[in-house]
Amino acid sequence: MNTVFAIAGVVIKELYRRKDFYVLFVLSALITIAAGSVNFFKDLVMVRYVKDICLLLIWFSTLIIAVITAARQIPAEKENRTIFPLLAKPVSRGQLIAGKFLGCWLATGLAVLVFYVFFILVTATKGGDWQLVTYSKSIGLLWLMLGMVIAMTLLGSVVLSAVSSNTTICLVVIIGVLFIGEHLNKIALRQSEPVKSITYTLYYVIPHFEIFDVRNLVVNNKPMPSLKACGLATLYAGAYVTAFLYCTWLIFRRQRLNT
Amino acid sequence: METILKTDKLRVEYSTGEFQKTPKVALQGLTLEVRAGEVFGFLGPNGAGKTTTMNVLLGFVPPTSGSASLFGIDVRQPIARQRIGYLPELTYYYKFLTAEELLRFYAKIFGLKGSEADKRIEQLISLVELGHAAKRPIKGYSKGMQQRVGLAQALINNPDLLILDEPTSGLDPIGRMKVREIIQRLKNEGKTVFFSSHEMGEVETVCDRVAIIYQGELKEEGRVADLVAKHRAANLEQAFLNIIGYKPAVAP
Amino acid sequence: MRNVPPALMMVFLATLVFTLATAVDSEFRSSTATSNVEGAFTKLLGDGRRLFSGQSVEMADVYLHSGFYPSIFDSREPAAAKAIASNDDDHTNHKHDEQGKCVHEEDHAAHKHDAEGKCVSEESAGGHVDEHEKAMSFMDQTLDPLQGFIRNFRITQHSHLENGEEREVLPWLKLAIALDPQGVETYAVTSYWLRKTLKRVEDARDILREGIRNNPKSFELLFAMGQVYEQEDKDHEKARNIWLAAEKFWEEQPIEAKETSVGQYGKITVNLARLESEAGNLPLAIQYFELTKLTSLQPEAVQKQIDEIKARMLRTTNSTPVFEPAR
Repeated sequence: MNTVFAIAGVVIKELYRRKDFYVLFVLSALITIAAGSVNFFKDLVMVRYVKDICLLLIWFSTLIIAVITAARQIPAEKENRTIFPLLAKPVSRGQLIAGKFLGCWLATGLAVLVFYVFFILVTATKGGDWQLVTYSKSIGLLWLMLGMVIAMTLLGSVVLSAVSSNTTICLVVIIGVLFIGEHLNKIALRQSEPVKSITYTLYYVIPHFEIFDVRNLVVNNKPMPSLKACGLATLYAGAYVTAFLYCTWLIFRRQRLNT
Repeated sequence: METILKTDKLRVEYSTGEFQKTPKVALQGLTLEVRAGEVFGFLGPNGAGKTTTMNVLLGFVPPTSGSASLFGIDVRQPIARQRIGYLPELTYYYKFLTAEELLRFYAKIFGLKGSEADKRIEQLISLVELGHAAKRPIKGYSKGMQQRVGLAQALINNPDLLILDEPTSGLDPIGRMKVREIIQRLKNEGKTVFFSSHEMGEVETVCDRVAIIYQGELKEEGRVADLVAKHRAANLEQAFLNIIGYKPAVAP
Repeated sequence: MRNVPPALMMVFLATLVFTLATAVDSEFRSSTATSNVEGAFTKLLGDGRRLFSGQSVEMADVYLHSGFYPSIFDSREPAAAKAIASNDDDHTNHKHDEQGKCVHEEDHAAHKHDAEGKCVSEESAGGHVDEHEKAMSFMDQTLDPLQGFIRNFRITQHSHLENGEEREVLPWLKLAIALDPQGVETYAVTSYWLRKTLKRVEDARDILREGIRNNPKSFELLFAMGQVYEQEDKDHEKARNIWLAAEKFWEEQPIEAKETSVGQYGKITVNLARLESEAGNLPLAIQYFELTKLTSLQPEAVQKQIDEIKARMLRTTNSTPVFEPAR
């Protein structure tokens, strides 16, 4: 595990030494503060729309950070040739993938935490409550989703050599799933065979990122999912992460690396 | 003497990517043995198969047939690389890290921790004379400095076998001299060094034995003096040209 | 140039940029007549801003339902799903659009909630509320195992904002107005919520004023403004004058536009009729009811009211009209 943690540590250092995170954070903070500072009708406290906008920005920003960070890991190692001295050490390709995944996941987790601290402060200044349990579950679920996103993007990065194509495809797939993933069964009902069966199969096979989107519950002050549901969601995310990483390893272990 | 590095009828083919085209043969039937404490020079013109051989030894490329082992362990097992150090021809490291952070990262991979790692990093930084720049990000280093960082990382685990791919390529005369000194020092410490080079003078100076490879095949193997004598050449460079069948267009 | 220190060069460039910016800005302002916000949105989004405006109104509706809202993929009954209402106090015109959203003709004053947060209408406990609840029963479909799992992470109970929390819809409505200043319904809806639920009459009046400023011939907004004067200030004179202006602007429309807004015309005339009836101008009240009858979905009910006034006139034969209808 030392090797995996060492590789993860480099990924984390990379994230906080690059500018992407800071740019997205400052941009999100500025938009949220601008939205929060608008006084629509004096002395009326309106907090939900600020929460809504801030959470949307958090989701968008952390998603971008996760995809961009994960997409460039392996291609950048190859392009910069840093992979050669690394794999010339007793590091297996599986450990490299695991380290990259763990690093990206921890790094985006840190980013999520920073964003949420800002979110909690902003909502508190607008008169929102300190719903720490709600926020913890929301953070946890977002982090799980980002784990799936990172694993999927890593898989893309060993299939597609160009970082830009992988990033674009991953973002399109993720946003597509977020919008229509949970409605594919309803869409399937309106189709005739064989489209119906294909759509149903897709519905059961795709990773349902939207499960982890509990922004609506947070914004509308509704009770969060039970611990049991969160546990099941963790298993669900874990299964997809394992599957994606396994496929990544199957492809990557056979790839020739020519110096 | 213990065999440290061994290849047996090693064959590597590359697909050209074109449908139904015969694959390109990069190595055919390469059999080599490097023994403990030797400095072994691996020579050949560009495209001869030197880098491919190293890629197989380091597990970057799987052999099509035949086998390769380090310390008796199949090169496909990561553990085979536990006791080696590798310096690639072109060295690029994580530019956002400092030399010290980079060495600490590699030290962690070898399980070096705490004071043991600190001591080793300090020694290496001093060896490659990078004390003044150790805390600066690598992105600000010159090529020579990067090569020295590369050498330091290759030695982080105090390896018994050092694989160097064109270690002096692109270095100025002082840089080359320093690398040669380090190789000599390692030899004196009883380490095994396997390195490829185009610099015949350098090879002649430091190598115990050499192998000459051409078009994926091993042409000659033996002590430098024996090869020079066998081919009635004035030096290794002439012997090398004779072995690969080079005919100068204009007579000297 | 080589000898100029970089810092000095930066200061020079910054000064130049600032000077140019102020010059261009004043030039730009003098050449555009639109407001800043409108101008910015128009430039940024073009006519697409109207789509965003509609989306913003929908967001307000989502908030009003506390996030419990059907998606475009959910099959919805052609009944009230949308709870954002306008300023119409006339329950007879409660309609729904083809997507099942309750259009802006519903009276939310009568749209209350019981202890469990379910909608209860004062008007008809089994009528409108049932329709609305039916429209919001999009989650009652048979579940597959995955859908059942996903439900754990969704809002599954229908409730509306209450106890002043309705204010949360206002930012979206205000944004919708900024995005589409010609969207008269949004002004009406916003003023309704401000006045009826949040009891902020002056804010409601301001919003309507802004709407009338941007849409001077909007009979809908004039009608809403008349309601503010009549119901909040008890200023019947002012309300009458504004409604008369509203009626005039409705009449000035092309025929096709009139056909699509007869319901609004009915609301104006029925309120004018009621005002005249209360003022004792019974013949004038009858005239307005006659006009209402032409456009009403329930002409019998209107005729009944005309008959009642005629009966009153028989009892008090000396009633004299004060105003002539502005026709």
